Amino acid sequence: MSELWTELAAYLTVEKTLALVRAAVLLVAGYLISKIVARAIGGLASGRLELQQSVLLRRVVSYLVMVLFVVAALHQLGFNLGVLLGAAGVLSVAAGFASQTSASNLVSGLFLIGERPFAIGDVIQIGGTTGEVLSIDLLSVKLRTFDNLFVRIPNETLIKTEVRTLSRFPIRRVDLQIGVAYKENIERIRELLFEVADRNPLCLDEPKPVFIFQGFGDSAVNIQFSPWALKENYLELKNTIQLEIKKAFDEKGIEIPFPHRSLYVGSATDPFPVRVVDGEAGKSVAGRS
Amino acid sequence: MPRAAEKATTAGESAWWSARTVAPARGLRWRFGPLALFVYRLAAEWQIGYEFTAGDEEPEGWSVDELLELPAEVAKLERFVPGGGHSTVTLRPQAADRSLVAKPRMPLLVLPGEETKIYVSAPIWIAVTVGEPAETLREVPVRRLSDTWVGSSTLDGEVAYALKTHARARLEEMPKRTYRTITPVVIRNESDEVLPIDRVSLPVPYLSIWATPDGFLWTQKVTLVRSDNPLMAGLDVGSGPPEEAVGAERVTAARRTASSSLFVRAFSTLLSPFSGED
Repeated sequence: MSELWTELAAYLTVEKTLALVRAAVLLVAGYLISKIVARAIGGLASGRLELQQSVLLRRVVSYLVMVLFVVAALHQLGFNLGVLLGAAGVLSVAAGFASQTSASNLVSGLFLIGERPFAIGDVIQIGGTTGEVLSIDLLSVKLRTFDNLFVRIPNETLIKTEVRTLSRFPIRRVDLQIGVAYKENIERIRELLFEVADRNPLCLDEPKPVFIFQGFGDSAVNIQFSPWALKENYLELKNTIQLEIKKAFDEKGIEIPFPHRSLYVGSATDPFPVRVVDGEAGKSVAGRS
Repeated sequence: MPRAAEKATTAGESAWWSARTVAPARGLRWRFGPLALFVYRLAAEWQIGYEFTAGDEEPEGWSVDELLELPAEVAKLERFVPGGGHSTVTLRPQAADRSLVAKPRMPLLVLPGEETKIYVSAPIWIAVTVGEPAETLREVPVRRLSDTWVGSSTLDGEVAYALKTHARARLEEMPKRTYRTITPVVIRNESDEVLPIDRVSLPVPYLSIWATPDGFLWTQKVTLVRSDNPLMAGLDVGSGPPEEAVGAERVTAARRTASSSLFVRAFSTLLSPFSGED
């Protein structure tokens, strides 16, 4: 134990101790200065840059300042920086192979921040995930889904796949698929749908709702009716107008048919054998089956 | 059921925007066309409720009744606890908070180089204020208007309210309703083409409200000039009450102040690009 102490005392000459103190002061000062500079840049950038760009700028600047001070501290301790840089060159090749994915995410992140397809607070849809953007970082984008889950999506995925920004434009179209029975008068249904849309205050008066005759389906005539709403009223309109359409159809006796099936036994020409029974007897039979 | 006090004030006695004193545990019910507005005072709080009746009919008058208790089935009911023991409630007419897109029930055509004047009647918002100086608790529209979009495309434009109007050209034909404002709109066509007016966008937030001694509400005259740009129109908002409103006094200032020259998407005949894709 005493040997260790004597060795340590021999190593820690006055100069070395001073160098150590200087390096420590440099590190602490560097940390503080990087924080102050980052805060100042954040203040300057707010209002001029978007939130995620200013966040990125602050990070880059604070890391740069910190690196400078770390290098200076190492220099104080007597490290030869030329050798360090050479070693860093070799290391970076190795690190480059090892961190391919991260690097690709990083580059994708830079492109993403440059392209700005969405901003913090936007609602985006990627694959099956829909959520509000919490942050756009160099490696990934963080989302909060509507069932309150935290989702991290690598930037590479965002660059490669289709991203839908749902909150980009102020108005949205609500697409409703409606099937009505073949016996109904489609012209009358069209009028009725437009009346319902006209009565709903959330449905935009203009652009006019879109009415599309989708075709003759298996058991119904298929119609698409698409009214427009402000983006914040999208869900409410989608809910209210479908209820109102159902109510209007019920009032006018318009049928929304179930799928129809025709059953054949054996040959298509032979009908089902049907037996007519009494009202009361029929009920009890039906109840038992 | 609400028990109404015997004394009921009816339209014509005084303007509806004059201050009224309400005793604790008493309330008032106003009716303005489709809107029923309830204001009820408790010891330390005010309760404000409102509901709309369905249908397009709008009776001309308004009425106010005293209430001993609030009806149980008011659709929207809110409680407010303002500081100070205020005992007076004042309703204030207020213009809509967005532009109004008035659609004449029948399109109107203005020939090149001509000028026409129409009267547009618009429902107002009613601000419920208590105390002196007035503290606004709630703003309620007299009629719930449908949202609409004014713009050259679905990407670029602004949100407004849609209003169906008869766009009457003669003032005598206007129904007299104290809970709507009348805006004289002068449309001048300085282009070489016939200008079909199937919708007129009125920048209502820039308009103040004046009241005439007979209890009707007016806004400034609005002049829209159609030049060669088919989408935009020059807009001029008059500085005082229109000449039709004799002896009018200003009741409410505009929500926003206009810059000297305004250009608006006034006639914007648009929307063909997105009426039928898919």
